[in-house]
Amino acid sequence: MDSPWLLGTVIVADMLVIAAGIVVATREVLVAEQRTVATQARLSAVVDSAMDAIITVDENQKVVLFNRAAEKLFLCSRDEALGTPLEHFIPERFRAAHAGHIERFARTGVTSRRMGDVTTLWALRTDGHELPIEASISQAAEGGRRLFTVILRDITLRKQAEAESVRMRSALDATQARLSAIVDSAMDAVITVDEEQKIVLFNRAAEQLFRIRREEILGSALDRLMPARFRSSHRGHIENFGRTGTTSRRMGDTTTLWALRADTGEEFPIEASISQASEGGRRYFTVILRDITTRKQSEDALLASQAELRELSARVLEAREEEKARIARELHDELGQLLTALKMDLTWLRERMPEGENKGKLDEMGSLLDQTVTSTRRIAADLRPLMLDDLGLGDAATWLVDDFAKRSGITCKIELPSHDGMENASKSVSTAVYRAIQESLTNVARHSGAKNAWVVLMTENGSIEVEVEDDGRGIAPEDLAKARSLGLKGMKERISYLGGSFEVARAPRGGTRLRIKLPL
Amino acid sequence: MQVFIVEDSEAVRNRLIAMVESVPGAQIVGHASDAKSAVNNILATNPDLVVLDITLATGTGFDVLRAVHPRAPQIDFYMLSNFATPQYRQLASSLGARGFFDKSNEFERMRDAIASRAIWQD
Repeated sequence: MDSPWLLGTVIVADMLVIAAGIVVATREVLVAEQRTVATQARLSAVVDSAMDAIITVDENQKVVLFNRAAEKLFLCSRDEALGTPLEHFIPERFRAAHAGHIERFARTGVTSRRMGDVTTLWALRTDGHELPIEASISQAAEGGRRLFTVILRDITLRKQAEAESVRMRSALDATQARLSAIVDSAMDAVITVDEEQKIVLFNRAAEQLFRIRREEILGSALDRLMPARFRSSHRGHIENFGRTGTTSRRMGDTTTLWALRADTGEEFPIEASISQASEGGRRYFTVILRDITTRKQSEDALLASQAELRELSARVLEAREEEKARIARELHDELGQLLTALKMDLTWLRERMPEGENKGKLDEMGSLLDQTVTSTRRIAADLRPLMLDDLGLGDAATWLVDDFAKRSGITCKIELPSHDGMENASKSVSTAVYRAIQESLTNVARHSGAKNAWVVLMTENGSIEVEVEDDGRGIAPEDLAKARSLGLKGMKERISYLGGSFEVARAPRGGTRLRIKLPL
Repeated sequence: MQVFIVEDSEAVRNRLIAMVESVPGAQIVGHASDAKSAVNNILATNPDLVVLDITLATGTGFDVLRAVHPRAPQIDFYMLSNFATPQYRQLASSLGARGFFDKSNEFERMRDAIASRAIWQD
């Protein structure tokens, strides 16, 4: 052992060293402490400015940190919160389970995890209101203490939005289901195609109409259901329709549309309408159609029977006309000749009869005979103007107009084509024209109250045109439909049977005008 | 003066013949009741005057006029018809007929015309 001084010195020296060491150590602690304080302040500021609520609890689940967002969320000041058990912020029914969760989390030693996983977590505000939240938990040991930090946010709005979206989706689903049911139960076939004319919707009626299952046709081109000769024009029509932007229209208008049965390739007539709609930037065309085979058949049958009736009525008219002509001829040739012979005999007798009372009787007979001749001619002419057959339409019409003027007292003028051109008119055409003029003039005399009437005959490009106009009161539209215009109807029937057109209307200068055009 | 009668009604024809024969200086040279035999016989007999009905058994008086007048314009044709409208008169005149008489009312006038024609002929 050395001298006690030495020992003392050594001790002092040691003490100095120690002291120096203490000084150094103290300074380091101070610096470290200062640093810690600064860090903590910064951390505090960060925690406080966080959007999410941050709550730290100790092992006893007492709150040791409660940031500003947490204050707002739970409606609770930091001072009130600090030291409170976390339970305070959890709805009662979750409390027991929550404590267990935290203990288990502590035992796992996992640093952090999302809480709740799939179920919604609920927090309890100090006013008793429950909030849906989303939260994560982390754990850290600090100075031998274990601290749990929960970061959480209110998801009320998100939940609401989610709920709204679910509600809307189900409403949409319901609407769509309802719509699908309607489309499927529709009596008419409904087919929707996309811009490439591929079928995207095909209802039950369409399945029955085209005789193909929906599964087989969906995705196919619409062409499959259409006779080949219409395909290219149909495509063009659809594209045109797409360009017009019209929402919907009837297809085919006046012509008959044809579709194709998928199984037999049989064609059938349809009636269809098309509509377009844009959906998600794509354009869809929906065609609603129905089989009109039966209707078309009855229409055709109706047309055929109408044509038959027209033919029949024309034949009847013709036969009547022939019959009248025959009677007129006989009146003229048989009766007329006999009357003429009688007249000649009377003349002969009169010349050889001495003057006296008997001569007066003969004169009476003569005038009676003249009247008989006149009546016979009148009856014959009314039945059938033989002039029509002997001289042609122009002369017969001229005679008719002159005779009409004489009989009715209405001034009536006729205009004929400068070069006749009517000599080629068939018997039925000239008869129809003659009868039309006759019927019109009869109407003028009966109904119009006219002072003047005009008849114009024109021939042009192989057709003959007739106009009969008067300056009377003018025909009322309802008169055209009246039973008494049977004559008009008969005329119209005859003209249309001969392929001509017929029109009765008010004339521009008042009165009535009849216009007929017939192929010669 | 030689006269030819074209008339399809026998009753009328007989009376016409009697009437013409009662006219001094007039003789009947023939008669016909249809257009074809009328044309042939008129051309064969070459009469001075033909009394011509319009309606014949076959054909018409106009057919006879059309066929005969251009070939024998010296023959006078007097039409006699029950169709005495201006249209028939006009057609007859345009085809070269000299006269046109209403069969029932102008019968006497025709007889007078034939009589004066017969006098002039002599």
